[in-house]
Amino acid sequence: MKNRILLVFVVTTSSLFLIFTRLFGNGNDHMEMMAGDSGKHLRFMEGESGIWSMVIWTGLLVLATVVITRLLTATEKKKFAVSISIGGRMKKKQYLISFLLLALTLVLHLAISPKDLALHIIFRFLYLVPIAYVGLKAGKKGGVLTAVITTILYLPHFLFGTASSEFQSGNIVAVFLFYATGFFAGYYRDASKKQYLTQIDETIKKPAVSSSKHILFYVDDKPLSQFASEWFVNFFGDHQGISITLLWISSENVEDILESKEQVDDYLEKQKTVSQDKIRLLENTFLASGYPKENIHTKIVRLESKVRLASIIKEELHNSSYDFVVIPKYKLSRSQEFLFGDTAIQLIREAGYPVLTVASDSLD
Amino acid sequence: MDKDAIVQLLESSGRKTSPKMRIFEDTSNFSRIDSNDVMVLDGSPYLVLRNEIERGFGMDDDPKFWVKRVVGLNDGKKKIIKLVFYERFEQKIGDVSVEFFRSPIKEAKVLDAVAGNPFFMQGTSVNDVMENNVRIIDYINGTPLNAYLAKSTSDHKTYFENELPKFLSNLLDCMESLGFLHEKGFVHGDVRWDHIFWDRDNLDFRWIDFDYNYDFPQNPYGADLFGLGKILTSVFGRRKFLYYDLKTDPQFTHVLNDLYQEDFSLLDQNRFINIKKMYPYIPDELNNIFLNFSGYASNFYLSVDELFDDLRKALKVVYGS
Repeated sequence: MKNRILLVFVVTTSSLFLIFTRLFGNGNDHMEMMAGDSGKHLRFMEGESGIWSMVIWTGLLVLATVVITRLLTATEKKKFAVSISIGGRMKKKQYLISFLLLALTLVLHLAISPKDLALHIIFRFLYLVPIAYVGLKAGKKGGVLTAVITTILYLPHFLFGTASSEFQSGNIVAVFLFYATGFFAGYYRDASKKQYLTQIDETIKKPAVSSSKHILFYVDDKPLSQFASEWFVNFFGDHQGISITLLWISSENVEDILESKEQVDDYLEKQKTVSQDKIRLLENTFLASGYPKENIHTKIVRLESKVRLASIIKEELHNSSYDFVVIPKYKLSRSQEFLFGDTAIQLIREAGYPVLTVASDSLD
Repeated sequence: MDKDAIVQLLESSGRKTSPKMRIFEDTSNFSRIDSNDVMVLDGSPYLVLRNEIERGFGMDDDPKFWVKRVVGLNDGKKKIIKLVFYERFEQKIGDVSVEFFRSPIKEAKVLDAVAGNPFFMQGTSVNDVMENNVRIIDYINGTPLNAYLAKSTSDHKTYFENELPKFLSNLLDCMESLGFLHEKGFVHGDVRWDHIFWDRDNLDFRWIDFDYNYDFPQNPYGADLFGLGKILTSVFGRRKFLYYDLKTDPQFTHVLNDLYQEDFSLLDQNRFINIKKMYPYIPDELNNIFLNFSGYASNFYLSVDELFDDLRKALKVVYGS
């Protein structure tokens, strides 16, 4: 609310100043300048009152700039300023550059003798520079706002100057160009920022997320392992950067169970075949769903003594940097769990890592 | 070693030579080897006294032909010789069917692993001429735990408060030493109270019979722990309690009126675990440990250490040490 009052104050003061300029400017020497074929005069800011006008005009410009600057520097708190910051916030240095560019253009434009019509026309279009600058730095709303300020500053020249209709038409075009420049430069800036942020999302955020996904996938010889892999790829879908390690634990402590070396060798050979087949099956599941081959790893641990599977998996989790472990969860009666153990439950209790268990009623 | 040398050894030890005596260096066909025969293993002669018999399953007369009680003719010491007998069988524990194996190699490895440990039977293994792994085990002059406990005739409160503390520490040290075996990567395989022997000569409890094996990769010591739970309730209850006992013993009729399925073993629904219902002076701290093996259990012990950590704490409450 306070900002709006300040803005109204600036606009009112500017208007009063213009009237003042007009009143005092009329009694002085005229400088007549022919503009085009209309033969009308352009009388403005000439002689002593012209100099006063310049001083007051500049002072007003400073005041307006201070007010606007205050509005802009309150970006975080004020709604008005927030609308500016949508396109982007300017730094203090950029405010200063905007102000200097606008002031310089204004001084050049108003100070140049109307006799130098060509320069006058050129300088009129110099207003586009600060507008474009702010538009490019602060976005669409900043650019348009600067166009508004420039219009206010330019208004006395536009409304009260006596000039040919061609020259006035040029002024109208100039004001139109102020807004067009502010809008399009700002639009370009906003669009660029949006595109940049999208790129940032894609190039920075995604790799950051994906690089942290290193998953340990426990594989056994039962169909639930295969089901778990299929469920996993369907559920997580996006495979970008996900690295999977398929862990197979081969219990090879069979010398104490089987009767002969031949039986032991035969058992181990079968185990080898089963593990290879099973791992290949799961690898294919991941490959078919788009996982890059280089992101699928295999680890086979051969157990030659009696160690709980959960301990081996826990050790693997601690030795390598995994984000979580996926393990099939079988439905067991309490007596089965008591006697045979439940690796999934043991891991949940002991691992100290996230554990994702995959169960299926139909595969128990 | 020839027959004459063996006869000479027999005579020098004051034993008669049986006219039917046979000498075996190949033990493959163990059922042929009988009392008064001699086995020569690694150059040492052993006179067969008898076949050992299976205990604990109510099949007391079933001979174990692969287990011979012998006497060493070189040193005159009694030994138990276990010959190679592979066995693979399914045993039903509650609603769970478990596959067990009898493994000579495993027992030989365990004997090596526990050499010098006072809580395990001691022995060595040798190969006979046919490369059969034969275990030669020191005879334990003693009695199995179930028989040891059965000697107590006092009332249970007296047993629990006065008799049990006298041997409990020694017994628990033996039971806890199962953890030592597990640390070495072996299971006992057949943890029962008649597989703990009271060694009268050395005044120690010792584990015997290591040739059973099982393979539960997810819980390698599960069956051993289950066995420990059963033994503990039997030790503190002084006997094992089956549903039949509750029904027929008049002193337990009050328990029958307050009986739930959860009071029984999780795996063996016929075996009563919640012994505080019989003997209310058993503190909760102790009884709760037993209940971890009952139908009330939701968390299960995974190691001997876990079990004994709890047990030692509870015993401090019970006996103050």
